[in-house]
Amino acid sequence: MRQNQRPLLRSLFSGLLALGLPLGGALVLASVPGGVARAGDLKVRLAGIDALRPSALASATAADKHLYTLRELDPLVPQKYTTIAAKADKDVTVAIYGAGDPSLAFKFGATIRLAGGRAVPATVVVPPGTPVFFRNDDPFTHHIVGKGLERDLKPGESHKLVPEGKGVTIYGDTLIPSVKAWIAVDDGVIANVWPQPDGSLKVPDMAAAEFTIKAWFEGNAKASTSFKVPATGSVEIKDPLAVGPVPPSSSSSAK
Amino acid sequence: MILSRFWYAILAVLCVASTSLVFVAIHEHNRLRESDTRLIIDHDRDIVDWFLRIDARKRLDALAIASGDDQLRNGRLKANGPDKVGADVRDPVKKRLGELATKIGQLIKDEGKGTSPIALFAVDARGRVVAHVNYDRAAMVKDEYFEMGGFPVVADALHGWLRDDTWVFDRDAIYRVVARPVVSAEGSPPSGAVVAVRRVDDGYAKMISERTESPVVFYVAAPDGDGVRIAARAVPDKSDVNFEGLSLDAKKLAADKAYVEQGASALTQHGPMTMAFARIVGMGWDMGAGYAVARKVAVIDGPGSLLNNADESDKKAVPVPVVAGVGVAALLLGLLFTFLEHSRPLSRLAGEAKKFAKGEQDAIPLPKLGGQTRKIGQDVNDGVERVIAKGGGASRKAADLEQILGPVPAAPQMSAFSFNFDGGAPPAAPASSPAAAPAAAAKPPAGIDDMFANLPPAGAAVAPSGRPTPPAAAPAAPAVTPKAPAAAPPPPKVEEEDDATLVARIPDELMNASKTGEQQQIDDAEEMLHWKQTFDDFVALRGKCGEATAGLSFDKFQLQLRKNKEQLVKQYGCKRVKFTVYEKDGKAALKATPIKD
Repeated sequence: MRQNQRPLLRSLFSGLLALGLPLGGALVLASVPGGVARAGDLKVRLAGIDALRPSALASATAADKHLYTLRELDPLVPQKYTTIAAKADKDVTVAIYGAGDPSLAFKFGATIRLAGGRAVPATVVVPPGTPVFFRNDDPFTHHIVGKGLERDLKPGESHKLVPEGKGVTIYGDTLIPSVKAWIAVDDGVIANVWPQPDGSLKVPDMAAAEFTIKAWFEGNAKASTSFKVPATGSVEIKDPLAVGPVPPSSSSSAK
Repeated sequence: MILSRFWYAILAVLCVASTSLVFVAIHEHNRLRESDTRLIIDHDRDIVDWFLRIDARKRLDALAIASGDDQLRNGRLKANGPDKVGADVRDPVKKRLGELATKIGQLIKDEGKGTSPIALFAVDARGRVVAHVNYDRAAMVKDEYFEMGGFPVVADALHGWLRDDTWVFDRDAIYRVVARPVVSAEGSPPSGAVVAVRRVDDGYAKMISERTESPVVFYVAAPDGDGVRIAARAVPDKSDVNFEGLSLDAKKLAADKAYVEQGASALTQHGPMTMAFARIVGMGWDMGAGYAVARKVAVIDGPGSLLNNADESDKKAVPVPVVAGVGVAALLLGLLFTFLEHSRPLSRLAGEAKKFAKGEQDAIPLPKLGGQTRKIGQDVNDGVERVIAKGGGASRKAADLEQILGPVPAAPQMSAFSFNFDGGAPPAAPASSPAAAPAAAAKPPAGIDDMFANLPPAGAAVAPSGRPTPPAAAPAAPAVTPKAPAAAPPPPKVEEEDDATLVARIPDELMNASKTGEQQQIDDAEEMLHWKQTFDDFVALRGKCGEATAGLSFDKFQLQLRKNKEQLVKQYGCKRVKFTVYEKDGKAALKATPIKD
């Protein structure tokens, strides 16, 4: 049993390193009821992320809000890259639902970093009672306001928040308007994972069981799919998980 | 002294006008200065706004040398790969950033001497800061956590946009930010961005105030703050504005609708300063960042402080020749008037008095004098007369009215100017006026009895000696037959009963004398004419002085004049005596002047 759990722990810490989230709470930690677990990977691709418009940035580009004196397109950059879209690794959160122990993934709670003038990740989805930490990684003060929270966070400071009840709560920053964070409290969540910047997602060492994944953007579940991890082998969901409008050429199949 | 007094009046009026002018000019100056200052403040605000816009453009353009730098581009490409950026990537980029920051500062003439220099950031495509230099908050952030991709200006740059922004940190620090994308290959998305940040500190404010000549203060009125905090301030060298101890009220700013909606406040007074506030475009707009420009209205408190602010150039602007010319002209005019009306009459009086003292003349000749000196001469002459009279000598003073005319009746006894329209005889003279009776009898039975009717006929009025008949012979006048009414010349037509407009007709005796060429007759006639004129003047002056004129007759008048003349001729050996009517103590009086020629 202990040996069986090693892959999960490895997966946890490698995931933490990969995402730069020292407090964890952001990686798949699926465990089979009864303690039986095996290593199986999930591969899925999220599509339509380019169509998502982060509200903080979208409003910051509005021409009528006195937000800049000049804003010009660099002629060297093709038009198709000039639209402000969501960052897959920061704005979209994939929550995994299924049998498993959420306390493993959320052992240290969930963490929202305040870094670079934004919340990273923008959305966390946690089971009830899970603490969420706001941590200021910026070299200036944030003032976070939202349900059950209103305080200054100086550089390096953290604040622990335990959301009450279920549902989605939005948190903002009165000093840095581009900071917006959503905390979704939902039953059955056992872990949060984040795709790579290109939208690909790989969750290693999953237990053999049935799972559901939901892609969240700004407090809303934009897409979901269910799959079963077999006793042997990995799962690759062929159809992209569309969180926004995608080209019609996509097809879906599960293996 | 009319000219002198007139000159004094002119000077007084000029003095009053000048004083009034000073006050009016001061008020006008203050009023215009205030309105101009308000206009200037409005312009100052616009100028600073344009400066900030142009400054953003210049910084963005200068940043092109960083976005196009190969070394930075390669470093960013290396950073985009791994999840963690190593020192092997960071260090070369950091070194290059330092060089470029210096170069950019030189390009835009903002080297941040003594203040915050330009901070440069190299950001990879994921928004992570690969390297940075000159960032005043660098000590508060760890490199591995340092990101900037969430700021709209950086996010825009990572999507191919050139843009500026204003950041506000910690409710009191303002940063001007520009960012450019870094393109590694044609047709590919940006591989990162370069960001230039300049803190708005006193050095930055000084740069603005020096280039715009505007006192400027930057502030942050954070929406959740506890007031307005001053971020930076500066005033031009010669400005009288002082921001020390400046306290701004966030509530007043929030209550200004134009400020909240349009970003430009109405002008407000802060102590002696008039200020205009403006919100800064960018993220700072909603974070309460703004700037204010201020001016002090240079008010002149009063005439005493009129020249307080005058400098050498002001003094040189005075047209000295013109001012000196006006002054000299005024002085000369004053001297001239004083000479004409004071020195010269006094000198003349002194000269005549000297002649009088030497015995070259018996009295001070009044006709040669004028104004006050004539009065003085008159008084001297009167005094001399009085002394002579006391010594028993013949008085030369003006004839007394009673002496000339005898007791003047309260009621008119006879009018020398009465009219007889019914053609009958004129009313009989009272018995108490024997002299009037012959005159009355001599009048024609019909026609107008005008003033000339009282003149004696040419032949009868002349004595055998060629002199007029003495007064004692006057009663014989009735023996002279008056001219028949038909032969009498028509009386002058008097249209108005206005003494001032009467025109004396040439007396018959003068006309006759001129025909015969008898000089004596002419002289007598001229004298009679003079006496008649004197009589008329005397009657007119009495009337003007409010004295009774009824009962005065030329006959009695001329008899007395003749008597006085003879006395004076005998006393002084003069040929003629000139009688003059004048006013003395509110009464008409006569004076006689012996004439030797």
